[in-house]
Amino acid sequence: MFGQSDRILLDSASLEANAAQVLAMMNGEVEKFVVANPDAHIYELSEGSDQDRIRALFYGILSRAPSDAEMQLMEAEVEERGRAGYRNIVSALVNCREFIFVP
Amino acid sequence: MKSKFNKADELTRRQFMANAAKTYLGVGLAPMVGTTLASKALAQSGVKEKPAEAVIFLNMAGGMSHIDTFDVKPDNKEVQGPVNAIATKADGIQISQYLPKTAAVMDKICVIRSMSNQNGDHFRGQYLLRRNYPPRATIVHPTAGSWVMKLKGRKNKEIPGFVTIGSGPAASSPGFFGMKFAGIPIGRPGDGLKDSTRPFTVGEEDFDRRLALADALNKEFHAKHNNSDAEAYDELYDEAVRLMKSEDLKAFDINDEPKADREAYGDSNFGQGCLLARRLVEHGVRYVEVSLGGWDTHYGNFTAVEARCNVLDQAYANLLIDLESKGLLDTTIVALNTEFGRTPRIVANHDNGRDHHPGAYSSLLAGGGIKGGMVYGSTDSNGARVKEDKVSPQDFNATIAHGLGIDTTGVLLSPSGRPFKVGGKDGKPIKELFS
Repeated sequence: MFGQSDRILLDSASLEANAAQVLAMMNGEVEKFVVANPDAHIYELSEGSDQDRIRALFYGILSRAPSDAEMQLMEAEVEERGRAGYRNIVSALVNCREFIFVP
Repeated sequence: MKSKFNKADELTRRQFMANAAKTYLGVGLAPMVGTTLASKALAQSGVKEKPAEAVIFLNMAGGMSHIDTFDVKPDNKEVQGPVNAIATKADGIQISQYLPKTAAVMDKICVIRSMSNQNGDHFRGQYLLRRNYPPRATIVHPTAGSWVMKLKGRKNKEIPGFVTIGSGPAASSPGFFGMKFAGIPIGRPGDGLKDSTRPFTVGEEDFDRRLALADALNKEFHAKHNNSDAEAYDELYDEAVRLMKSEDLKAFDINDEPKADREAYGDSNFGQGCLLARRLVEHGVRYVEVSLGGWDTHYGNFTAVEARCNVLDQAYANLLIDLESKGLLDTTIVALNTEFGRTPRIVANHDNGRDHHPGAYSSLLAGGGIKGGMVYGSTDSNGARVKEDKVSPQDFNATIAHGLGIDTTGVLLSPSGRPFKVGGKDGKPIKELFS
């Protein structure tokens, strides 16, 4: 689905995107094994205060610290949704353009 | 400067006509004249009236042996081997004994026995079959399904207009048209569109919050990087979310079909894929490719071709019957093609195999105004060379495009400004195949 060769023909891999890939990123194995899995490595990495944990998620997924505005947004998310807020952040981070198009 | 049409998104019929007239015919439309002039201009340019609305393209991957299927040579045992020819419902047309169910619906089918191209290589052959141009290092050409999306737009705006079933990633490739025109790949027909429902681990509110968070992150990203590929992903996400919430998502679920209807297509991925294709077309999908692989019969040709034909025969014949009973056959072109045929020579020490043979092979068209019960073109007594009315893969696809009411002489420019046509450089529709 992500373009790997079907190994029936030589060189049949593809780098092109389609909506099925997007569905897989939002609802598929990423959700099952990472976002909704409390034992996922990304959550183990993230400990300490809310800010520390959010920062760890950003480093773990986007390899950078959040901007001030992003930190505020994520803190509000955690405040409002608690543990579900962290899941929402992880899902949003792996589904944002920056994750796919590493600048 | 690219014209607006070249970058156009989905078009309404009116826009399409106006743009087509402008782009293809070099005439602008006086605003008050509206579509009348455009319609007339298109009619003069040979665009088909009362076009078909959908295409089901059956891709026989690997190179289907023409002599053992649709171009039998009963009088030439040396090339025919052990396969017998059988009569069909169409007078004077014989096909292989491996395809009895297809023979019974031959009155709906046009057999083209004069296919020919120059590529004896699977990759190049499949590339040409779908994209109408030879592969080039500098560009990726759009597949036929993407062309149809580009030129016809969606019929049902809720669901994707272009779906591929059981094919590799190349089948759904939008090439230089960009990801908006990509097909949706389905692996196993019975699984439908995977991951298209919200997982049980996330509630509706949280799902929407995730989208909003990602959206906020994306705004910053786009502002900083201004990359059109990245922006196109936004549309892909919108599309995916719209799809998740759409009533028409059920179009992808063949488990909804009565058991008897499912069984009628045969218990194979291809058969169930054909059922899914019919279901999708019923829900307004424009272009569906269904693949049946395993035709690369270098070894044990006759055993392998018979096994492939069992799967094909059941599914294909039933597809035509089913489409007809649902009133969809008149508006749906069912095309069957392959990258090349196989040699008349039977290789005895390869357990009676046949090798690649692009010089002559067969394809089928049915439905969507195609005349049934006819043969177009012919090969010599060995099935080695085309004797009359040679048809290229480009001609074949141009014929389908013509059937859809597309002007096959129209030129679109790639983002780098190179000109391309729906039927390739030289593809010409065979208009006499339509009634």
